[in-house]
Amino acid sequence: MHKSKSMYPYYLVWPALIIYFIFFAFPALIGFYYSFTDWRLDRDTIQFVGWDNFKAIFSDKVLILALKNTLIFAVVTVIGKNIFGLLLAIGLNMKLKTRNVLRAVYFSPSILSILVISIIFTPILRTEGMINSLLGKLGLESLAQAWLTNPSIVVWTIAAVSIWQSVGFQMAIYLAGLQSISKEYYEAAKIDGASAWRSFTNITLPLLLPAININIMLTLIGGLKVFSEVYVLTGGGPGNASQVVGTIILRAFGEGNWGLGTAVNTLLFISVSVIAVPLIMFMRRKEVAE
Amino acid sequence: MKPKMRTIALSVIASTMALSLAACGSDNKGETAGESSNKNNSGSKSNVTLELAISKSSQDSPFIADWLLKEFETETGIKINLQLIPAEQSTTVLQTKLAVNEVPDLIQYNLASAVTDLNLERNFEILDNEPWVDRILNADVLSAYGNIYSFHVSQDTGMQGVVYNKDIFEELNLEIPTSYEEFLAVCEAIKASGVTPVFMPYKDAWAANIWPAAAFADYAAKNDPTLFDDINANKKNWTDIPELEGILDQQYQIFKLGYTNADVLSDSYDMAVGKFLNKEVAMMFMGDWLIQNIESQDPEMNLGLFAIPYGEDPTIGASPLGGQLFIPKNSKHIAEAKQYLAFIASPEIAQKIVDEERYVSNLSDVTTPEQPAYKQEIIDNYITPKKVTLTMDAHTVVDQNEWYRNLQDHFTGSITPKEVLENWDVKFKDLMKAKGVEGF
Amino acid sequence: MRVRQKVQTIIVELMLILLSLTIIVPLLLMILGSFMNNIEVMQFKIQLPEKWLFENYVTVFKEGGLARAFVNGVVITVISCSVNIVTSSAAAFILARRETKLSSFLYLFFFMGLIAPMSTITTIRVVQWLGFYGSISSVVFIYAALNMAFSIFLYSGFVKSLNKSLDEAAFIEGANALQVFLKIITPLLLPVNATVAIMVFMGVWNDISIPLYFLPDSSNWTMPLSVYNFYGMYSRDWNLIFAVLVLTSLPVIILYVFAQKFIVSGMTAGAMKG
Repeated sequence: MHKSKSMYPYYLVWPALIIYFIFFAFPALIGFYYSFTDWRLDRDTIQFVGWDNFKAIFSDKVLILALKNTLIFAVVTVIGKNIFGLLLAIGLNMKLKTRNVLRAVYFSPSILSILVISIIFTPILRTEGMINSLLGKLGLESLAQAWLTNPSIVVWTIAAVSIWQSVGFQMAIYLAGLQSISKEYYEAAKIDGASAWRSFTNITLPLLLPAININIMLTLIGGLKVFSEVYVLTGGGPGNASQVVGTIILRAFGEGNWGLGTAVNTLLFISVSVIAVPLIMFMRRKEVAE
Repeated sequence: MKPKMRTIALSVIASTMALSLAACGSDNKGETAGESSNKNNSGSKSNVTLELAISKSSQDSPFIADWLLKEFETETGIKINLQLIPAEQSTTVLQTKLAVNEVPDLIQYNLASAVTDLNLERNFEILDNEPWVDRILNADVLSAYGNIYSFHVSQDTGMQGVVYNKDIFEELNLEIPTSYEEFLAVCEAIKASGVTPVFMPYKDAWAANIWPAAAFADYAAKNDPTLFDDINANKKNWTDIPELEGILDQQYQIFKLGYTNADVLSDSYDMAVGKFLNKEVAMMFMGDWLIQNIESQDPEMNLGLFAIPYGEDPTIGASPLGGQLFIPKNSKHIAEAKQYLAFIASPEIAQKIVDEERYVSNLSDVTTPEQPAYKQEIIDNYITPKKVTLTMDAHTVVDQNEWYRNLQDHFTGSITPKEVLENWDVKFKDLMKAKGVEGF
Repeated sequence: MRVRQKVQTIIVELMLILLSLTIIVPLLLMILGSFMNNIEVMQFKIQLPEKWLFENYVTVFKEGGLARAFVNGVVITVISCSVNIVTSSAAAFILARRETKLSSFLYLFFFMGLIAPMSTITTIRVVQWLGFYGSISSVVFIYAALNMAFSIFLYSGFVKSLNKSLDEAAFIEGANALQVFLKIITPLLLPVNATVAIMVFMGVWNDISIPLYFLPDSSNWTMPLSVYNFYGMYSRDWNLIFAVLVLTSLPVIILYVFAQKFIVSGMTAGAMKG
């Protein structure tokens, strides 16, 4: 213990910690206080109201729907982004002629501003839009849907768009992970006569663990905190059909109930923490054990 | 703006007048602004830069026209820097800036929403003593809580009804419908000619509110004059009046009967101009500002506005919106900001703006130019015979987005008109309670 | 064996090319649209423009003030990225190497930043109190802080995968932690640096909310916000909007293509065995 202390001094942590604390953590912590107040712009004084905001949240049936939507979105996108991202990374880690171009192509949606996503996909997903007309040409009219306006499928559509957008991001992290695996392992496995599948499960997956952890964590948190995809594609609509917790917060702010909005934020923070923190502790321990 | 407010306005105006008269000689803020403007004219030019915040969707506003800003700068040396805020974020951004006291010096916003969103009384300068005030013809359109809080050279904030293509009506020999049945017959005839009768861009949920907002107000004015006051005092519920359900159902039936664009929930408001220009559609429930915009793209277009035909002989809805200028109390350059208002209000400048925009002038020494045909018709058919009613929006003091969302939900077919009103009733009471309105 | 592998590779390549159409086609909508006139673009169809209007790009540069916004974006993004990368990789190095309660706590504290929402109003208050509200430097620090959790999370995962015996050897030779970090760890982190750099870069580059709240002077705003210059209440010039979006996206795509080389060369540098 004593040795490790002297070898790795904390002064290298300080700059990051100071910036992070002053410009993010401290204001965020103070922000949580407002969840217990009746904070509004149109009121001069801010009063402490205890748990009132939280009680109000749970009496709102739109929030229940939003919770359900958020969970669907998170599960679908975590699975979709990671499976497709990993497959793409494996494919694009092979010696392909068009490898660099394809990497850039697959990655490109994730660098696009969310504005682009909304502008491109609104016409594509319209009922008379490109997807449905393509389905029509293929003789699959029966699959045509009101992708963004049918309340029962709109969340799934948004999840699909989100996968489309960020799968390249996951791919990039998996690629970086794959490239840090030394070829020698595979050569040794080949000499031992291991099948491709075996070397995938025995070498690639375990050594890819840091990348997998990072990706699952990021997609999970991103999925639970989802906001912009929904906001730009439907604004939570039609009606409230695609509201997620992230857009509910905006709704509360828009209605002038800033205290309430902050309370939903706090609640979201706690729920995501409850899921993510044990997971990260588990992963961290596992990484250490590696 | 709302009648209640207006009565407050009237009763308070008298006392304010007395006060302002008394204050005239001593230290009158408006006077100081005038003086400093004179100083600037004659001698050293101020090197102040004013920040003017405006939603990007209002960037055509005459108050931020290039020539105007330039002329103001040459005359006074005061520069104006524009903060163009993306429309969907403008409310939050302005609220935040007001909350943390990093305020722009001038804000363009609409008065009705400033009451619901921006806490007028706390955050904005009262302009009762400005030099231009005694030349204002209709102070009501600039006032709330009995004081002038905003500035505009026009007294017309827009009328809401059915925007229609007159050429199509003429070709098909159609008359303006004055009842719902007549309206459906008109739709049928237009549809038979191969044109979409009504364009409903209800991806933008607020657009679904034009029909009910005017119809509810007209219904209330004719049958239940205290309806909105009762609702605002929690003496009545939104669900108490079955007729409101009927009005909502009417709009839905127009869609159900196939008289609209197919994809009402995918089409957005910004497509409307194109649809009219291409003559793909004949009508739309909207404000007359749409007409102005279409005609500015193609002066050959021949459009008009008639009242929402939900029942017999309806009145037209007066919009409580408009884009007025406000000065935040905490502005660092209040005097210069006021100078800008005075500059715009000066007869030559105001006349130029009023002429260019063909406004109904709100200044006694500025003449109203000849109105565009559609406007003149509205004046003749509705304003002069006093067939105008302030829309429901003028009576609502809380955020209406949830109401819009419920209207939109209705069009997905998942809820009934009754449920629309029930949902809104619950939400409305929550919002009123949170706002601290008496009775909730 | 060799032949089979080659065939396999070709099949994979063909599939990936085919699949990439799902990405390319929607993007073409934007790229082709940026050369159309404002009526043609409203059809939202994938087709070649009747006439290629290159002047759309000239228009957005002139009317949208893009040159200025580009410079602002570069300045803000590059500085905040650098601050973020330098500080967070150093912190991650220590936090990943130390196995004390405190380092676990600090790691978790940073990690919570991925979950916690930013609180705009209180952040403004803090910046006001520090006395530099409205300045570009405040925005730089805010961006650096906002992305800190993400970077530390990414870095520490990879630092852990680097064998500790490397730094121990250097310590025995008398190096201190800073030297070990700069001379041994940093080169090995190159592929991760490239990844973090591009992720943070695009997060900052594409952000449309911080400038709205923290930069009152819109002449300091960054590129994506220029899009709104072409958003009218009544009509939208989609062709110009598309042109702005293409121009906004280009720098990040170029950066990615460029960074890819680093990822590849980083790979060879990282080809070491425990």
